[in-house]
Parts: sequence; C-alpha cells; structure tokens
Amino acid sequence: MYNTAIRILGHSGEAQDVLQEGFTRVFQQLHTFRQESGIGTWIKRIIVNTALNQLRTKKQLQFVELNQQLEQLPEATDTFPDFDAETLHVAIKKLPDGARVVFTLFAVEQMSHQAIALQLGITESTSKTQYRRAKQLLKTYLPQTANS
Amino acid sequence: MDALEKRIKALQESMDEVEMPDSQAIWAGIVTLSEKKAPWWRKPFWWISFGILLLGSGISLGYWWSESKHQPAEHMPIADLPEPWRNKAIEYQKLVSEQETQMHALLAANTQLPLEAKELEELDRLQQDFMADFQALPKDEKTAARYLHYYEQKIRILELIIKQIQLRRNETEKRQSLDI
Repeated sequence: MYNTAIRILGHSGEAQDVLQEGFTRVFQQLHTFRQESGIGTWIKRIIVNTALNQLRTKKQLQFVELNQQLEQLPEATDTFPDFDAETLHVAIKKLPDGARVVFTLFAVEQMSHQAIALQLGITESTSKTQYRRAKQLLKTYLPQTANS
Repeated sequence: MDALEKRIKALQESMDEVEMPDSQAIWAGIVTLSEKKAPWWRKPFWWISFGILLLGSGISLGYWWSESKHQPAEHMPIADLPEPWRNKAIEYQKLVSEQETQMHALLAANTQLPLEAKELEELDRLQQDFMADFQALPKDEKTAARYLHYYEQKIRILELIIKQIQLRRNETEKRQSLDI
C-alpha cells in the first residue's frame, strides 16, 4: 500500500502522510465495512482514495490535451527492455502526474479505464490517452533507469 | 494484455516491497491523528444540547401561543344593546365560549396551531378596538350589526380551527395505527 501511494503521489514523504491519514480513516470507518470485498481490498481502496484526494488538494491534476505531445513520442511497441520491480517503480515515479496516476491505477492496480475515469472525473478516452502516453514515456525511461 | 502488462502482473508482489515505510513513524502519526480532538461543533454533546434547546423553545413558544394569544377574548358588554340584538348577542357569546373551550381542549393534545389562528388573533384585536369605542357609539342598529358581525366572524374562524385540529389529529392517529 505504501508503494501504491508512492506511485500515485510520486513522493515517499507524502505517501507516508497518506498512509497515516488513510489508516486513521480505516479505524474510524471500520463499522461501515460490509464484507462485500476482502478487508485488504477495502483498506487499499481507502488508501488509494486518500492518495488521490491528497494529489487533488496539493496540486491540480493535469490531464492536458496530449495529441501534440503524443505525436512527438515514439510509438509504444510491445517490446520493452527487461526490467525488475525496482526499475519499474523508479521509472513510474518519473512520469508526469496524470500519466503516472492512470498508469498506476490501470497497469498496477488493475482498475478499468471506466473506473479510473469515474474516480478521476475524466473521460475514458482521456484515461486511455494518458495510459498510452505513460507507456511511451516508460519505454524511454526504463532503459535509462536500468542503466543508472 | 500486452507484454508490459504481463510483466507488471508477474512483478505484482515485489512491486509492493520496493520501498519500505518507516512503520514506527507511521503508527505514531496514526495515533496522533486518532487522538486529535474533533472540533466542538462535531461533538454529539453540542448537537444533543442544541436539540434540547430547540425542543424547549418550541414547547415554550407553543405554550406562549396557547396561553397568551389564544386566551378567550373578553366578551363585549351587551347591557346597552337594544333588545332584539341583545338576545342574539347572548346566543353568539355562548356559542363562542363553547367553541373556545372545545378548541383549548383540543390544543392540549395538539399544540400545533392551524393558520386560521392568526386570523382569530387579528379579529380579537379588531374586536378590542371596537370595544374601546363601544361606549361612545350610539346604541343603534348600525352599532349592533357591527357588534354581531365580530361574533359571526369569530364563530366561523373558530369552527375552521376546530375542524383543522380535528383533521390533523385524525391523520396522526391513522398514521400511528398504520405504523403499528
């Protein structure tokens, strides 16, 4: 959960604050847990929501028009250099806010674009575009991160 | 699912262990946040107190309405009225007294007053003004007609109020029996 919060916020210090606030909420709202999902899933959802709220409060989440920027980036192909968890984690942290959040929620947290769109108040199409942008950027970042 | 997504899925578990949090600092923070005092207005004590105060004010207001505003108005003197109207006035005064008694008996169980109560209050005030002028007015047909007119109006309004209170009471009883 701590690493999920870092990937959403891009910063470990803020992730620590989110974990504190999120777990405080968990204890306060424990009586509302309906056992429709596992307790772990429920807690993770609270942590993710707290992290997203934190991100919204601290900075305006940018989901700018990406068409122009996407054209400048190499097309993401299916071939990625081999990487381990740490390399990917570091590369994700380098992504811009919008792309990083969407990539984390879709690829790592296995959320659908529809759910992401609802959660972030964006369109499904924007979510998909941000994901595509994240992949293109990661294709550039991963080898750099692996080498360093 | 493309190659990247497959790879991430394979790394899922280790992705959660890349950075380790300072557990002690996090727990200390959770404890501090949990112990943080809620603002005074979020404490149940204040809401309960506010509720009691509101209820108390409502009861006092209701009592004030029923005790001060709806005291049976003093009857106008009839001794000076010429004979044919005097009997009518006595009949009206009796009827008004009966209606007021009935209304107050109903109000004891149902303090919510219908809108017509305002009209009654206004009429009582006009009647008091008329009573103040009554001695100076000539005791003729015109004055007698005005005199009786107040009572006729009052009888009509009291009738309406009683009906409204009874109707409301019946509805409440019906609702209560349905709830049971």
